[in-house]
Amino acid sequence: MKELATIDWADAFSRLHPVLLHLPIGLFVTLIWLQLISVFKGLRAGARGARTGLVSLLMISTPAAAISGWLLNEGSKYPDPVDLHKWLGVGLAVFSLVLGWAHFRGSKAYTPLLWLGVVLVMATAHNGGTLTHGEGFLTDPWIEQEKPKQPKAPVAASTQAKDAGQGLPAATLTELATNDSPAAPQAPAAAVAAVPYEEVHSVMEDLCFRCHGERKQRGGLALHTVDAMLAGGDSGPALVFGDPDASLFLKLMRLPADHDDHMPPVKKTQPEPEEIALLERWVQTSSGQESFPSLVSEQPQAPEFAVEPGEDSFESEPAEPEEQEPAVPAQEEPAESPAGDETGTYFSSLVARQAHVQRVAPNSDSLWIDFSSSSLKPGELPGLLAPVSERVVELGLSRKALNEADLRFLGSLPALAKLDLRRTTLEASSGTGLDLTHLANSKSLRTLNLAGTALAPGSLDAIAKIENLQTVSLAGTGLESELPTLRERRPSLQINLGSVPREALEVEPEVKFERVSESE
Amino acid sequence: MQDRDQNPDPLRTRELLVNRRHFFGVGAGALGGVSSALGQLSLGSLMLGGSAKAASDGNLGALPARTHFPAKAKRVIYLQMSGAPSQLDLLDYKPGLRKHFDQDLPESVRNGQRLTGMTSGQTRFPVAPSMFRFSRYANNQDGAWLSELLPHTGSLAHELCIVRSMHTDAINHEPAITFFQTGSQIPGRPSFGSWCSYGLGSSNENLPAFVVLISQGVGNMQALSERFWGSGFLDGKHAGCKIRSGANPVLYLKDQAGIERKDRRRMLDLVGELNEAEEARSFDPEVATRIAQGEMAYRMQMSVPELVDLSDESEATMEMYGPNVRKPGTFAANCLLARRLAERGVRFIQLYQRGWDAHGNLPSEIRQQAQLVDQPQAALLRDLAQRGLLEDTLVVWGGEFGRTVYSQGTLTETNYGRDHHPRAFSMWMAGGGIQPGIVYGQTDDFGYNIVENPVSVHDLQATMLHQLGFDHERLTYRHMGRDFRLTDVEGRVLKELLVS
Repeated sequence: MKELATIDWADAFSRLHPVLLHLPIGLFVTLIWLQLISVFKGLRAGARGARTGLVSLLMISTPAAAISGWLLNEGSKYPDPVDLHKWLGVGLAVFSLVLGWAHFRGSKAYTPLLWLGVVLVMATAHNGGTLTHGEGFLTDPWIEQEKPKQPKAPVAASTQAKDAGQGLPAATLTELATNDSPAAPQAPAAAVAAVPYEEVHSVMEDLCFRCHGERKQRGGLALHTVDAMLAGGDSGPALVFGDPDASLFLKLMRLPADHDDHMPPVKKTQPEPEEIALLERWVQTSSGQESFPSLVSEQPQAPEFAVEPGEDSFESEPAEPEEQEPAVPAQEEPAESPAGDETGTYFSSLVARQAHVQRVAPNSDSLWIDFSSSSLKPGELPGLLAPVSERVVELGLSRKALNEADLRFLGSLPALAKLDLRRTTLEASSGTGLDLTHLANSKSLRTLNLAGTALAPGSLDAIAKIENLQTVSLAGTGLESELPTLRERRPSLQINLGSVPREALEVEPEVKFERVSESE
Repeated sequence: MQDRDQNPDPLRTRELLVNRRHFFGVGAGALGGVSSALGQLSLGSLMLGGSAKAASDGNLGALPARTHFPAKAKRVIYLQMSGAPSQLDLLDYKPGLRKHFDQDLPESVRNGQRLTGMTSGQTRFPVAPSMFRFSRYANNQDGAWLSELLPHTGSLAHELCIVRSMHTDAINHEPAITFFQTGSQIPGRPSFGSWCSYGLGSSNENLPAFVVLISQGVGNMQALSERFWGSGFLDGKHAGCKIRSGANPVLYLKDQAGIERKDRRRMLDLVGELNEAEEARSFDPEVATRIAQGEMAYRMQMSVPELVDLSDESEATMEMYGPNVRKPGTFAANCLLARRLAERGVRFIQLYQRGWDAHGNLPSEIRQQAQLVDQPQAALLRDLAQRGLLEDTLVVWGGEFGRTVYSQGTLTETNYGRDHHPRAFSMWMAGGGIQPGIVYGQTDDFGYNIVENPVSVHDLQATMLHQLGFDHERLTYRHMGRDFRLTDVEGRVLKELLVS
């Protein structure tokens, strides 16, 4: 919480507008109801009694709603239609005071004034509702949706070509279409560079985020992160990867400027055709499986968190190309990969167990997970790692007790390249050591550390079968006698048994100093 | 953000601090809970993952990458030989000098170089060849010559990358160690281990990411300032944590008699509340550090006794380190402790062995000093190797500068002294993706000047950072209006030393 002195009270009060405005609406409805039930004699006295309290509340709440609304409009530059709502609201506030005056004076004018007020409150409320929910919010379910007009050039091209080659990037498709030769050889999809989300973000930042961003979500819609776009607003998801026509944000941007639903609003900055094309290409070529950096808006107005100084200097920049992990191909489907908030929660849950989780490089989805300072019970591993099983490339399990289910799971991890099983034991060790049979079929495993882990007989056979294994540490596994066989079967496998001291090759003869010349 | 330093507007500063407090609140929420590590780590992830926004968004961006590229080394064990051992008697073999015994060092070699006040008054500079025999040990080249003082280390020459062409800017101990540790001779910058802690975080939340171990020597011992392992302008929690020998490995960690762990918990909760109130009032980031350190200490009450309890070490292991390993506080015991820390995910383990400053009586002092370190450091390498840890642990050995080829004080056939020599000296590295079994760089016939492949302190630091996964030019921290790096504005990654 801020200290009281720092709070912008006007701003705080203005944000109560969406709450306050419902009070006059409800009060008018109630007052009308009291008026109606007064036809019954038995209820008349009670209704009259209730009226005084309600009218006095109306006299307070209507001006309050009007003032908060006025401030809200001052604080943010709503488009022009607010003008009407503003004056309707002010009028209603004044009207409520007049109505109150009529009530307390016992004037006969009260009843007609009340009915007039109802009309006024309906007008104001409907007008305000349209501002936040959009035109046609009420009527849409009743009337047939107006089909958006056929989009213009680039879209038409992409729609045409989509029939010819599903999933081809729009740029290629435009060419295809303009050449008017649908049989032309299709460029391989990989050849066309995907649009980096950073570019998309910077285009949209100027066009959209003022009303659909972190701070304000007109129509319940935010567009400043991919997740927010996918979640959408009152009219449903704004983004459907691979389908520009179904992506509402793009659809509305492509509507002709005179169309009622056109976005951004006519009076705002309008996108350049290239920008539309870029957004279109991004939607078309992204599968949604890429990792989209979450970019904080550069506008300093609402920093949610301050970042330590110096932090920015080592995120976001691309890593040295030659050191990068090979990027995960876009068409690959990490089926179980959790999305959105679940992922964050998931990682926190790992961290809460004292596991160390880290991406191996900024642009990589590959994970290094280390449980060595965590308390891991036998059999827990498959459940814990299932959501990221395809991303784990390095796993540390030293000094942990495992059971057969764990080992089978380890063997099934498709990307696991480096596995640390130092001094691990088998659950309730039944005399036999760790059985590695389940690892034999791993195609990805390259480095395996078994130092100090008692191994079950036959484990060396399993090790020999691990196709791409390059290095294995086997000191203290109790299988030293079987090593020659392993060496024979896998001559190129590097078997680490520790470093053996070597005798000196030669020793200098006794040191003799020769005084070649004397000097003072 | 940058603005804090650049924009002096007090309201803006306050706003940032308010947000900062909000930011720490994320951590504080969990501190009182059963698992305080959650708060710690989420805090850590926020700081290390770059944008805090990314963390709240919940996609994979929430997870810090920490490094710029995949790391070859996950941790560093830095064996600092405080006082500066003589390269000429240990690693830089100069048999030709034997013919120049007691001759004056040619002026063309020294070339007017500055000397310390300890020898600048000497009337002559007689060449003092090493009186120790050297042996050639097999490595991946045509062998490495090491002195008889390092038989165990020599027998592992096939694991070492010996650099004979180190040079530094400093000529006195304090600035020279400061330079090696912080990249600047002037105190006040963060230590290498603090940069590591800042960049990598810990992979074990129950121990600090940066641990310091000190052992006493037999020779002339120079003071070790605590600021060698200080965090400079980084958050205080990145400072090195000194682990001592004896009943209290970490000072003030043990509860007083009659205080139970649950009492400690309640005390921490209460003090934490007061500290939070103070932080809300003053916005002093040190208060947040204080809270974090209290929690770390609480966790260390459990982790440290287990760490220093050697009862689970095998007899063979103990024997490998030599008899001193059973004496807490010796270099041998510290080497074993270093391996245990490495196993437990500590990122930067800094050992200091004091006593190498042999201005006089060098032969007898260095003989005893070498005996203290030779077997334990070789055992450390073997121990790491057989546990499969050497490949991702970078071990670095060296002093803050070298020693002169000419004798300080009287030169006899069995006794001499050597003064400070920053122009050329030797170090070695092992593991962590550094090429094993090579010798790099060369000095002239007097071991005085570098003639091939000079390596500056910043080069070494850049290379070490590279192995840890950092581009040394991009691991920065903004302070007083500029971005600071460990390597200042210099440093070259010695790619020729890396395993490709």
